[in-house]
Amino acid sequence: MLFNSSLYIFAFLPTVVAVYFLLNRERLCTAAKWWLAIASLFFYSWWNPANLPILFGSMAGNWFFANRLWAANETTDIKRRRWLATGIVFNLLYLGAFKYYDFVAGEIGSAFGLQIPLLGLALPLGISFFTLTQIAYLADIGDRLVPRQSFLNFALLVLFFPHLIIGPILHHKGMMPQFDRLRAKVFQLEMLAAGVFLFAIGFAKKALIADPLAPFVAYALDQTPQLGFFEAWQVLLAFTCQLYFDFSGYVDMAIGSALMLNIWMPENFNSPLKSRSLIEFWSRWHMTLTNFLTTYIYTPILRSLGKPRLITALFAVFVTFFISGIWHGPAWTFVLFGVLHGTCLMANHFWRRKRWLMPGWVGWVLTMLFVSFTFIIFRAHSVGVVENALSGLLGLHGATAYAFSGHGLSWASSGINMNILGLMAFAIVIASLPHNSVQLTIIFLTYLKGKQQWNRPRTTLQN
Amino acid sequence: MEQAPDNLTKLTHIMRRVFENPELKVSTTTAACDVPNWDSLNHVSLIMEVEAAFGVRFGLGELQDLKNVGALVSLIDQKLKKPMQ
Repeated sequence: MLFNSSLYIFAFLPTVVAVYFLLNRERLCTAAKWWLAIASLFFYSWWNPANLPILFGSMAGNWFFANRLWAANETTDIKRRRWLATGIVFNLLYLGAFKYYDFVAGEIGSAFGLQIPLLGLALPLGISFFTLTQIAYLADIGDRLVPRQSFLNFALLVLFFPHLIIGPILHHKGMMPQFDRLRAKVFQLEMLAAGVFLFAIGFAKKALIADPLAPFVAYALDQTPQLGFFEAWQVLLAFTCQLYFDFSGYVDMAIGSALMLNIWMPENFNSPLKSRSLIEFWSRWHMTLTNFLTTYIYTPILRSLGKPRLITALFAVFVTFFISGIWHGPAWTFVLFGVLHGTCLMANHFWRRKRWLMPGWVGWVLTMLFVSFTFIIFRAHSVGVVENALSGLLGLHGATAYAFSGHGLSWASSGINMNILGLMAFAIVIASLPHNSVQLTIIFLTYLKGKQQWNRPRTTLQN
Repeated sequence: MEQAPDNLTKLTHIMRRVFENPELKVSTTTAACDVPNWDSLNHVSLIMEVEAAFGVRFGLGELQDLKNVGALVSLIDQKLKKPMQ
């Protein structure tokens, strides 16, 4: 079920919120949690119930390892490490079987001329996200940060529908205490209003900007054999706008939905298009993923290499982004995305260490150009699409490709599409407003309540 | 709570060394954005220095939602009161 479907907005969400608070009012707090978990399963299985057993399999495995870890925490350190390592390997293999096996087998097969049987498994919805959530859960138990939990609490953390499919990635520590706060179990009109407010902003981002840009981007990248100079630059900007407003709009709808249940989820975007360096960009874009990568990949790699030095830190940055690229999907374009970001982040860190300076606007232009180009790689189905876009950007295909225009949506004879330009101008104005959607929601809520009286979970200490 | 000022002083010395700034002023409300060199590399250096100096060990997941120096100090206090292993 999609957040922007009428089924979700007019039936699912109101029912879930109403029944949740009614159950809590009758002091059936455990039943209320079960209600959220079961409603989340319904939400998840709406498109394809066949995915449910896969989700259950992952949860059953992780619940087993969680219990072994809690038991091992009371005994020896070595046992604890073994169970943690086994649990993480379980998750990686599980994800690998569905997401990477066929790609790796196919590549090895074609490289060595072998016939390796493929599994042909469909990629279950949200598996990348629920796998990360559960790895973090096991790692936190291994560090003794999660006291022994009921199965219900574990299930609710994993299944909670606002984050299940596309994040933000949640941690036990930031979430479960919120579910147990008594005040959060009482319906609050202000929180409902704030949730609706943020949800509406997210919906508008997606419906008014991202979705109208999508057919243009698809036509330019998928159906234009030789992109001209003008079209290539338009699509470069258009896709960055599309991706940002789509993803952040979706996350706004997710955070807004959770707010209606009196739950704060961590913010995932903090005006990333204002970033003046790549390091800054990753501290503002998909923040819960960056946070996960920093905490569970970058830091352990760096620590394992002895006293941190610039060279080992750069190495750790590169490996982290390489892994991040692969996590996004089994394709060479994702590998290239990870390698490019890893490389440029190394350069950015080196530059910063040397204390070389750059005017802010130059940094902003470079960051946006680099990020936009890598997004094209991110979206491309093949390396050929990237080559086409790059040639277009460099003007190798001439100024415009209108001669190739097909039927339906087509390029204007000038190569410039005024609707798209207008839409992008609108998007850029929205993206450069002084406050982003989450900040506006906090201002709105403060106004409603008269004072700031809640603890919003912060995403991170460092930047 | 009597330990807090001592640990803060000790932490200040470590931070001055890690961030290569002998003049650095640190209070409980200091956050990463207030300190020029506080990036992801120095953050790991800082944590490792703190672990060595105080004889504590942080879990990975503990380090990500520290809001400011005050939160780090209270985490250190909490670890010193209840040593792991």
